[in-house]
Order: sequence, then structure tokens, then C-alpha cells
Amino acid sequence: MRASTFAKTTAVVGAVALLSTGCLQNPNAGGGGGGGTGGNAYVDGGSADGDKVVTILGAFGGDEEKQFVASMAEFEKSSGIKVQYTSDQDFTTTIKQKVNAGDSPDIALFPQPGGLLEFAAQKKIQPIDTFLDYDAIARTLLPGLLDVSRYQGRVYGAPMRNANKSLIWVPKKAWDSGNYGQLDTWQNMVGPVSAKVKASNIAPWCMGWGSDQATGWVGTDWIEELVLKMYGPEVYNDWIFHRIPFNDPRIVKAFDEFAKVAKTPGQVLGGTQAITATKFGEAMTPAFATPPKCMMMKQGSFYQSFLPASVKKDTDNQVELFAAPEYAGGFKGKSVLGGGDLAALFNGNDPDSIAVMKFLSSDKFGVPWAKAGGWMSPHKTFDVANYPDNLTREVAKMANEADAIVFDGSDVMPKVIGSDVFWKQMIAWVNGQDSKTTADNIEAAWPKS
Amino acid sequence: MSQRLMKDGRPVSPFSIVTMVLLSILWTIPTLGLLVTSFRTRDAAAASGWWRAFTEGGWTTANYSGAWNGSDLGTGFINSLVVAIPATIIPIMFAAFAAYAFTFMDFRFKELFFLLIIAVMVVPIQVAFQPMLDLFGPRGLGISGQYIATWILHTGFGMPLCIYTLRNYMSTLPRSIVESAKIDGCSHYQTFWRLVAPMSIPAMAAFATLQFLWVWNDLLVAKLFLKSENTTVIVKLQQLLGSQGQGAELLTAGAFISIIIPMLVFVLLQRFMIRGMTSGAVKG
Repeated sequence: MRASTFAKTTAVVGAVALLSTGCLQNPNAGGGGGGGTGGNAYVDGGSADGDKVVTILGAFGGDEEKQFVASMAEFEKSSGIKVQYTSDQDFTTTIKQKVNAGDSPDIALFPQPGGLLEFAAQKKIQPIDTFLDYDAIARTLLPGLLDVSRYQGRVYGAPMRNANKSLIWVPKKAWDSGNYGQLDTWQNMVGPVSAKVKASNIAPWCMGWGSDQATGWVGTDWIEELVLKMYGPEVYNDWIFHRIPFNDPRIVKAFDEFAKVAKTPGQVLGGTQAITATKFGEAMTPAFATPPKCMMMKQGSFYQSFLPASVKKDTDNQVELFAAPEYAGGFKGKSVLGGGDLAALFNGNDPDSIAVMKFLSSDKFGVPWAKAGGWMSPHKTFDVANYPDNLTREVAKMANEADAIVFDGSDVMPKVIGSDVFWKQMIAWVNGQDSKTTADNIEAAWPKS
Repeated sequence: MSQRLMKDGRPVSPFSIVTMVLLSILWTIPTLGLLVTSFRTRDAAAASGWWRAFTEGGWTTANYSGAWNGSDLGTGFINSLVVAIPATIIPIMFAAFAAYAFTFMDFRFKELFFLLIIAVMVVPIQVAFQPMLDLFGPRGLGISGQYIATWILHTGFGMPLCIYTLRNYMSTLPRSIVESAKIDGCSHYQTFWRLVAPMSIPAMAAFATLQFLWVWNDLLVAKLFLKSENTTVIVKLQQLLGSQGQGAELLTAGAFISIIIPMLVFVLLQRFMIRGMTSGAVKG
């Protein structure tokens, strides 16, 4: 009897301890070791320590690279640290080769958490709680962004960019004059509203999946959106982390729901067969023709940089954004399918790299980038006045007010699924394969562990 | 005089003239399309195919200025030359020595060694990246990120084919010349520099053209073994793209900027190209 009472007491104490740290989920709260990857031991990759030079590898180049460099300029001046950024379109492969050869950068900016988790498992990345004020950034970050890079209880990626994928884009003038109704529920959106658009001789949906070897990812976003809206964040996370099988009947139902848009005649501009042939970056261009050829498009916040030049000059008057609506009978509340870049530290004992990480993960980072457009802070406390237009401010507000934010599932799933099989099966699905077979095929390809 | 004759006395064939003109046009069309697209705005290129540019317009030179300014292509050009020139000269120099030895010298296991060198041509460069990164990286020689790393790699991967072509060419040279030089008391060193090397210039120039083009257009070696400060123009082009491929319209313009130097090289060396390509083709 005594023994069992003792066991109960410890269980309660343990639970209380879990709860008290659990609200902020800092696994290293006491500063003690014993975490999943060996307490406070340091990973020592990257370039020389304390040399005032920090190397960063990321996936974005061009304008985004310029804005990133501009965002680091002031920090470099005040700290005396030189940041050397390299971009690589084939980031996922390059970082793997570099790390395996012992030639890792000090910091890498992961566009997908999947690759980051692999390195976390190999103990190549420093858990962020050992050098960042975990509780402080957890308070200001949008909820859910830290959990996506959690491995065995510890968090390895510091969010430095946020994306919102739960957006419906429409051409403002045509939409306002058309009186198509409210996007209050998903069913209304794909039903009566779409029918009304169709009645005015405009295709209700602009849809393009074309993205070279990555063709199909736009389709995965739709499925993710539907799983989130129909069943809520818990089922969604169970699904992306494979705690329920991919071919669960509920997921198959989400495919069928999507078929009401993608595979129903008259819903998509050019018909179903045009979907994979249209480039995702050009999907909405026909919506700005007079008269518009299509009306609604579901795409992430980054699409702003793909708008036609004439529209980009005047986004606030030309484009209207709606949050993807709730699914009637599904999850109640505002839910957002998000994404973003995560910074990971490979050089755990270099004070300069740590200083850069602290700056990158703070709500101070990114003001010049925000002003130039195309970037949103993952922090709720970031001043929205910095964004260049109302459109971006609106998107940021949607994320700040969301009841649930989940991470883009195909970025979290194992690479062979999320960046290959899921895409290809979506293409097969849109070309006529039925929902059940599609989900079964993806489940069959899931790596056995 | 029913049939016109060519310079060498063979009759002119209208069939082959028509075929060749058609084929050349067919082969040039994609490049022409790329050239037209590089002068069109992103929206115009998205709205209609390049062949409709002549009626629909949408012309711009902004892609060229955007590509040039967007990624510091000027530095990229200099870096590319620093990579490509030594990476062309070094393999040809070594390969010429080796080809001379394989053609005119006798030593044990000569055929076996030659076979081995030819055999490594089947190793694709991609499978060698991980071990080479390891060897050149901080755990090995520590030269990763410097020009010398790319010179070594391009030399290693260019040499087998170079040895093969040069040996085939050298074996067509009249053996009697080399033998008489031997009788006159020439060392191998003298024979090579005074006789064989000058006579092999067409083959070497032909291979130099190929090797230069290959090194200039290389993306993977430069990307993995150089740093962003000293990387080549091809890598800089790729870095024009944003996370979802924003800026793709600049790539077409960048591609035409980057082919200026290879075009010059090709034009200057092309008369050697023709002679070098067929070198050794008839020798059994």
C-alpha cells in the first residue's frame, strides 16, 4: 500500500512539474542536462569559432537574398560580426553533403523542417534552448511554430520567417461588382458562390500546379487545408506525423471534398487537364484580364511576388484576400495552414554564431525585409506598420488572430513522401486516379521505421 | 555540265543541302525562343508563346539589367575565368604527357594502365562528390572553398577522355619521325616538346574547346567546392532565384550573358574543332 501511495505521489509531483514547465514547453528549463540529446554538450560544426565571421546557407536568392542581407546590415555594424550568406536552390541536398563532409555552415536556414529533424537526430544541430531565451521567444512567437522542429522533446529550429497558406485570392474589382456572396463556409465557397461565378461566364477557380520537378505541391496544400478545416489541428498533426495512417477514411474524404473543385467540370479554368500544365506562379494572371477568365485562387502569402506587374503596383485596390473559410461541421474557429523558414545552429560553441541566432530569432529582425515586401515575421509582437501594404498587414493579422496554426504537412513528412510521392500521387489523382487508391499508394510508400 | 561540282570534285547534292538547312533551323529554334523570351516581360512571356512576341509585343531589356545587377555577374565572370582557364590547361598538359607515353614508350602493363584510365570514364562525377567533399573539407586537406579544389576536380574528371583522344591522335602521327628523332639522339623530353606536341595542336585545341565549355557550364562542382565570394557565373545565375522560383525571367537573360565567353572561345577555336574531332578516327 505504501509503495503505491508513494508511486502516486511521485506521479502527481511529476505531472505538476510537467505542467509548470509544460505551458511553455521548455525542455531544458532548469538549465540542467539530461535532455534528449545530452544536456548542454555542444555540437561543433561550422567555421572557426570567435573569428567574427558567420557563414549562413539558405535556399532563397535574388531579391530575397538582397533583403536578407539588408536586414543583417545594422546588426553587423553594431556587433562587428560579418555575415556571409550563400543561397542554393538545391538547399536540401547541398546541406546534407556539406554536413556529411564536416564542412557545414555555422547557421542554416531550413525551408522545410523535415531535413532539420534528420540532422537533429544525428546530433548535428544545437538545441535552441541552450543558447536562446526559450520562454521569451515562445511568448512572442505564433503558436505551433516551435513544435514543428521538436525532436525527442527538444526544439532545434528557431523560426525566422512566417508564411500563411490559408488564403483565397480574388481580383478585387471584379469580385466587388459581381456580388457572388460570402465566403463564410467552405461548402458555400465551393457550392453556391462558385456556381454564381460560373453563371456569369467566368471560371470560378484559377488553379496551376506546374512547378517543374515539384509539380503537385499546390495540390498537397489543398489536401492539408481540407484536413485541417474538416477535422481540426489534432487530427491534422496526427496525420502529418503519421500517428494515423495516410489512407485513414477521413483523409480519403478530404480528397473527395477537393474533387468538388479540381475534378468537377466547369470549376477550374481550362478544365482539370489544364491544372498540371499551368505554372503555379501564373495561375492567377487570367483573373486580371478584362473580363476576368477565372475568379478565386487558393495560394500562400508569397504569391504576392508573382502577381502581374500592373497589379503589383496597386495591390490594395486590385486584390482582395479572404481567409480560407471554416468547414461547416468541421473544426470550429480560425485555423491557419502556415509555413516558414527555420534557423538552425551547427556551430554550438561560437559566440558570434549564437549572437546571430539571437538576432535572427528575435522580433527585431527583418524590418527592412518587411518594408520591401514578401516577408512576414513569425512574431506576434512584430510591428505590422512595417509591412508595405494593407494586404500583408491583413495576412499577418489573420495569423495573429488564429485559434490554431499548423505547419505545412508535406514539409514535415519524410522527404520521400512530402517532396516526392505525395506530389506525384496528387498528379495521378488529378489525372483520374480515385481518392482511395491515391491515399493507399502514399501510405504504402511511407518509410517503415 | 549537267551537274555542278563542289571544290573537291564531288557532285552537289540538293537533297543534303535541304536536309542540312532544315536540321540547322530545327536545332536553333529552342535557342531562338529563349532569346526572344529573354527580351520579354514576365507577364508577356506568361500570357503568350515567344513566337507571338512579334505581333503582341511586351518587349523589355529589364531582364538583362536585372540579371546583371541582381547577382553581381561581373565578379562571376572573372571567377569563372579563374576556374576555367587553369582547369582547361592543366588536364591537357598532363594528358599530353600521358598520351605520349602510351603511344611512343614501352613499359610493362601499358595496355592494362590504359584500360584502367579508360574504365574510370564510366564513373559519373556525382557519385564522387561526397568522398571528394570529405577529402577536401576541413577533416581532410582543408582546400574546399578555394579555386584549387575545382582545378583538381576538373583535371581529374577531364583527363581520362583527354588521354584517350590525344593518344588516338598521336598514334596517327608518322612513327618514322619519332624513330628518326630517336636515332638522332633526341631524349623523350625533346621529342615531345619539339615534335609531338606541335604536331598535336589540332587535337589539343579541339579538346581544350570541349573542356573549357564543360568547365564553364559546370554548376555542381562550383556550387559545392567554392564559396559564395569566389563562385562562378553559372552558380550566380542560379542564385538569382527566390524561394518559390521568383526571378525566373532573369534566368533567360542571364543565360545569354553567360554564353558570351564560351561563344568567343568556340568561334576562335572551331577550325581546330573539326580537324580534332575526326582525329584518329581512321587509325586502326
